[in-house]
Amino acid sequence: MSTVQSVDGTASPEDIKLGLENAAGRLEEIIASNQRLQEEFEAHEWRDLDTLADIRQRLAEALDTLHTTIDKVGKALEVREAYQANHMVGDKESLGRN
Amino acid sequence: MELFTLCLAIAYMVTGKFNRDTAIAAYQHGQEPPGLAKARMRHERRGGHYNESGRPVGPGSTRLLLSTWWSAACQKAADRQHDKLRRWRAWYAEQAPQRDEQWRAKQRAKLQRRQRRLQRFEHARGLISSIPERVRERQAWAENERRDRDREQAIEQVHRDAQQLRDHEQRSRDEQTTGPSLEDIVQDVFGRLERGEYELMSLDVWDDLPPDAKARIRAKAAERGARLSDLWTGGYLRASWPQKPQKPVPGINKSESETAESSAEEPESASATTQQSARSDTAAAETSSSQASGTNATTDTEGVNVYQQAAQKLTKEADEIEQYNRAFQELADAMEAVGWGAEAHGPLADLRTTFEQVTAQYRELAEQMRHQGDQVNDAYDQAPWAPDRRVLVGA
Repeated sequence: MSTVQSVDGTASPEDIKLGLENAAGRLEEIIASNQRLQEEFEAHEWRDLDTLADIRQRLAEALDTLHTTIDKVGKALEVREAYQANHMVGDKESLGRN
Repeated sequence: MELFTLCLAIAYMVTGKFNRDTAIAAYQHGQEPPGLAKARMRHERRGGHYNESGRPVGPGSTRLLLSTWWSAACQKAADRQHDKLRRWRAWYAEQAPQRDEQWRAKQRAKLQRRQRRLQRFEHARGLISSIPERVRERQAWAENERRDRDREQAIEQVHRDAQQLRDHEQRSRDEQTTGPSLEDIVQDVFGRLERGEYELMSLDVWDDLPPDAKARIRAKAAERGARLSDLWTGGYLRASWPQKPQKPVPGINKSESETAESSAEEPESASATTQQSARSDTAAAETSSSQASGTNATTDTEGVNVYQQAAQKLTKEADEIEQYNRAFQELADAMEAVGWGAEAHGPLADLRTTFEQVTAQYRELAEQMRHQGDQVNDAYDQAPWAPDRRVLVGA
């Protein structure tokens, strides 16, 4: 029940990272199945299947976005490491950030 | 010679060109005047061809050439008249405000007469046709029939669904009385989870288990130190075992694709029972026998064509992306809820539109496929003797 419950604000960074990685994996599957469908349809000698390629393109862009976010979450985990290594630090606001 | 040519031209015009009924009756598609179409057909049938400059040569070429010139001349005349009419209308619009009502009525009548005359001219030479109206009417009739048929099918579908529901209830009652005991179910499902067969377990299967069994399985898993978690993608249950070797990917794909296939082929309730049926031999026997008796489910999947299957696949894909999008947005919301910055969750929320558009594209494509398949199928209905596509349109 990792991230389904987490909408109430209890999701840990690991949960989120896991969730995002799962999402990326699933999206890759979706893209692969799009490719499979196109190959299947082309085997039937169908034409004008540009929409499928277009969809694949958009999904690939979405995947890129997702990977960027995963990287960002990874960077955030580095912030946690910094917190863990440095104990004379308060909350984010006390660092002059918000 | 000149006299002969003149006679020929006059005979040609008199026998066909001014015969309005023939022209209208022969005119079918609104593409070109019927006389020209006829000449072209004769030219082609008699083996005529075209030289490099596009001039027809061979038998029937003179007729085709004359016919082309004639129809071009008619078209030009009609265009000229249209132009004249347009200028006349502009002139009328300019003059009308300054003139009295009597003048305006007279000019309007003139314009209308002129318009009618032009229409008669065009109609007689096959430049316009009343055929499109007839086509529209025929299409409207066909549409009405199709709607009637759809309604009948919908009613039939409702009956079928009700029957399936009754069958399903009957089956579950039978299972309760003669089916496997709770302990068997718990053992079986837990065994599968432990062996990794259900590393990604469809929640359909999970939800279908009796509540007692779910609690027992969770308890058993906790005893062994395993964590059962709903993946955020919503559709699956994952069991994480302590120090469990990584399952090879094909296994995961297999279980997932099995679930997907079964849910595509059968209604949801039936898919759950199919999965359940693996639990015990008796249940499996029952399910398969009931499937054999429930003819609708099987004939539906066997009877569909390639294009219908393709459309179904696309629709399924769209459904999956929709579900994915929902779960995805939950994740984005979760990130926002715990205070991640907009730079992280913002792009994810923006993907909602992308996924929605992709879903819409899939659905539209599925609809197009269905439509195109239906079109060609309808055409074959009218002419079942027509050969394959290769013959008709080439490779």
